[in-house]
Amino acid sequence: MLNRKASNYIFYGMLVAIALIVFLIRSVMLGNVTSRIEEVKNSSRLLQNQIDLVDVIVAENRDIQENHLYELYNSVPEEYDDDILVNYIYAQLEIIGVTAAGVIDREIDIKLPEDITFSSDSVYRDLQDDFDVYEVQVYFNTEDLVQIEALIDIIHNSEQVFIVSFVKYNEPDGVNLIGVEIHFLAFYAK
Amino acid sequence: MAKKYVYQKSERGVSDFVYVDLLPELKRARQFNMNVIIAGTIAVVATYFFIFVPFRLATEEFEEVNGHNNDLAHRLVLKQEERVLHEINLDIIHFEQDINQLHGLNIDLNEYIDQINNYTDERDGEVIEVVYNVENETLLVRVIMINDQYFTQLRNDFLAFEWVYSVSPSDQEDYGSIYQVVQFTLDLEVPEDVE
Repeated sequence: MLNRKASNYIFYGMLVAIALIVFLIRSVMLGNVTSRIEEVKNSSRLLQNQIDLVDVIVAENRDIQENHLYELYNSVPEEYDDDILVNYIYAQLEIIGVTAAGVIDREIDIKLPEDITFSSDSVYRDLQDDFDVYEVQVYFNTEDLVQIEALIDIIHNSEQVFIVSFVKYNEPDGVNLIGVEIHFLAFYAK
Repeated sequence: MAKKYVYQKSERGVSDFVYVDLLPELKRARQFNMNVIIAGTIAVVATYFFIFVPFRLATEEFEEVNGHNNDLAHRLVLKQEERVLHEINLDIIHFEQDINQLHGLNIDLNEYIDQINNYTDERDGEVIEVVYNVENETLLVRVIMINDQYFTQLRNDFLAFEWVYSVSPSDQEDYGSIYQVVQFTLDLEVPEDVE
């Protein structure tokens, strides 16, 4: 038979064991339910955001017709056409007075998307995922700063989105011809 | 501890009979059983208050949250149907957003260069070379001046432009016998709606 001391120890041990088991079961069971509640709450937040987003989309676009897409193609054409792009640039050069006549040199070179690489942290690297990006490299010589500014303005304000990517020139003195290099990016839908 | 004893005198007085119970096992056994009952009761009560009640409350909360989630899922389905009903094409919307991002990147370079020219003129200098690079977000200008004391002031002028993030001037170079040239590299701010 057990003496009193031993039986007391067993009693205390049982109490401790009961407490441990109760809190173990509690933490496991409640932990499961709590984590499921959190998952469902996160899912609800996500759903609410999606509902709000669809609400906004519907509110903003319910009156927009399907032909809106063709308006967007004016900014970013659907397909790249080498002739159209090159002729457009020659036309703009003519407008600003950089003509093929006389001593003026002018050259246009186009870099294809596969030949263009941007650094990994550049925002233009991300744009290459959304668009086919071509780089148009224009070179001409002039003695007039106004012609340089005019071409930059035309590129900036063009209906088709062009972004000036590189410009290099020495300030013209109005007498001597200087070389001007202007590159810009042209974007096409993928 | 002795629980009971019996003392009996013999009839003939030769000997006495004494019985002493020295083993109080019954008491110890009862004590142990009582402990078991107490422990069992504590176990039941603790289970009720620490497991059953919180678990029931948590389950009720879960059911409530889950019901709300199901409602939201259903509302989303209805909203999507509404979008389809209005013939809204998400591809066009994304395409338009991408184009808007392009517009945000399309800075007015002439405006920048004009500002540089104006401030350089005010400091009696002249811009002799301009190099712009969109990927590096830099605008490099070479400025020629007679009075080289203005270079620092010109750098401060450039720094005050809201589209300039920082300005790094190079060392001054002699240009002829009386002119000095400094090359400023202006790091440009990225447009806010693009970041």
